[in-house]
Amino acid sequence: MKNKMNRLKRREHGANAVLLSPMYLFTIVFLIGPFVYMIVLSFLTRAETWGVVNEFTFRNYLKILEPTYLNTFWESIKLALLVTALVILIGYPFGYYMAKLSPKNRGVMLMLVTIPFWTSSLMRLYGWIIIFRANGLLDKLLMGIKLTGEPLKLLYTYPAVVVGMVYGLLPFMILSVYSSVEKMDWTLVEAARDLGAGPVKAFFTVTLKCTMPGLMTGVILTFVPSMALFFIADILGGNKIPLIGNVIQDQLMKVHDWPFAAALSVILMLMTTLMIFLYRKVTGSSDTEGII
Amino acid sequence: MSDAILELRDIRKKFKDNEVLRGISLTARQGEFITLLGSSGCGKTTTLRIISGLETADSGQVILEGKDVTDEVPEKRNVNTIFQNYALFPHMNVGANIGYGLRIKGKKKPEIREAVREALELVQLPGYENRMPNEMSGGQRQRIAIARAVVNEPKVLLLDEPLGALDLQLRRQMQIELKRLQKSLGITFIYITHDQEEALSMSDRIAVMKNGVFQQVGTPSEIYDHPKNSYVASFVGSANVLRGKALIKDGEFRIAYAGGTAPVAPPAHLPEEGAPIAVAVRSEYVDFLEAGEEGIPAVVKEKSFSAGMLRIALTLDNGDEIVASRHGIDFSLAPGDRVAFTFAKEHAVIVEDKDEE
Repeated sequence: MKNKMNRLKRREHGANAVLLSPMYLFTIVFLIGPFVYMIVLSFLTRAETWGVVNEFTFRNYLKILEPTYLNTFWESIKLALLVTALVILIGYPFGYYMAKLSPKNRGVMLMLVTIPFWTSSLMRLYGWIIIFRANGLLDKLLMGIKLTGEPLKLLYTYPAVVVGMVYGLLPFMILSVYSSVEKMDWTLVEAARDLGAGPVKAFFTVTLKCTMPGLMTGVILTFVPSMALFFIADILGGNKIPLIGNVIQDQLMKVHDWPFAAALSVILMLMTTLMIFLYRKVTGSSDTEGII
Repeated sequence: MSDAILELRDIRKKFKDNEVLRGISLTARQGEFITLLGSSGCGKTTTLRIISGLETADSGQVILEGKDVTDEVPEKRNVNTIFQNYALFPHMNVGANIGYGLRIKGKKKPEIREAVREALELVQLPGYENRMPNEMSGGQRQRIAIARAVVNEPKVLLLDEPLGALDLQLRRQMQIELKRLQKSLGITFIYITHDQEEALSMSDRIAVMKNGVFQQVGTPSEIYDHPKNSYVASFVGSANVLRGKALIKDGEFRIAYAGGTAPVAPPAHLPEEGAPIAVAVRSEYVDFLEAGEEGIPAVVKEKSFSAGMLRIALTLDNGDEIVASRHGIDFSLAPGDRVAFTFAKEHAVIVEDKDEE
């Protein structure tokens, strides 16, 4: 009986492999291939003028240990942590209440949250310039209600970059929190209340724990990109706030030091992988809700 | 009643325009096993949720241990619920689940550990502290849910169809175990079911519910032998309800029904002759007659056999259907046969007619 089951399973497996082969091929060509190329590249030497020479070296990785680059990594992590914290503070309650709306209102809210995805994120960032620039919308508003006497000149400052990033990444948090709150079994909360927990205690001991997979998915979808979103720092930070993403872009596009850019990217990837590893530790499962 | 532990006074509840509870009153004594029996949508779960505080009544009062808790939040009430789907916390192991209530109350760790151990012994799952709920069978989860509730020593335990998800054999076993548990703990149980057999075998008292009203509250034998109305009669033990006219013949009180007559136990106030009456007769009391005796004529429609009982469906001349039952499979009548039946008058009781079913 068991044997037969196993054989059936194996046969099923074989059929699956054939059906899935285009996906494997796609993954190899477009994901694993470039990835391996990047790793190889990170160990090669930069050519005098253009491209690389096939000379093995650790120099690219050693260069990362220089204070400028270490500092950039540190600054990026700090910014990413700040952005992630803000996104959690806004996104979790948002996603939570959205999931508790009536089905009709829920649909409307879902639509509103996803509408920004219809335009390029670059376009939307230019919108923020109009708001943030000296004597822009925000300044006019604040001066109009007499909150400030003179223009704040927020554009090209750290807060502008933070706002831009929180704005850009918030929908991911909202949607992943929403999806896990929506699946929440509310009788568990009732059970907690029944067993003597007040609403706040019930939230922290039951609801938060049960929606942790969604929250952690949101954290990864926020933290990882906020390390690398170079164009937000470029556009709203005026290149004054160098993040790791900006350094990689500069090294690749301006300095043309491909191996060094590759080495930086590999380190960034390793940090990302570490995040996902931690995610699995925290949620205690390998289920990433199909997003990663 | 000085030992009244829980009292419901004229509880009413509406959901939008739907009147779910229309004046429910009940007094439960210390250690009593009360079953709310009714089909789905009759308001029994809402009643339970109003007792636990998960739902608030529109009007009426909930008195627990002599204190009015009508407006009290659930966490302040000394009652615990066993939910239909058990509602075990999936992210906690069994020990943490059972200890949850005590932990919330700020009890010390060793004390909690000891209480959890005892509770697990009580439900006969000792040593299961470190299992996760999803590693357990339905029956085991059921026991954990019970342990999680009783460990808090509630005054009243509310059980919302706790055995609904279990298969028949396990159900029977858990019924016995629940009853044993209830006796040994001395806790008042308010138990919800739609299974009349379960209600009859476990309860001290049964409240038969329909359309947000208690149709009858009484001991199992009161409910079974003296149903107050036609709904109780047909729902509990699925009695036949005969709707005919009162008749007095040779000094005997009878019912004229479907072209025949049969004797009925005379009620305290005899109805006038010709007045409409409803009479409940359980299937096992339907007796078949020899040719020529006076009874109610019928045609055998079909026979079916299940759980040791032969069920004979009869079609009457007015189109009504009556069910008779016998122990054992041996029965000489065949579908299509013309018969006549009657019943002993002590088994035919007049019930209040509730037409809307």
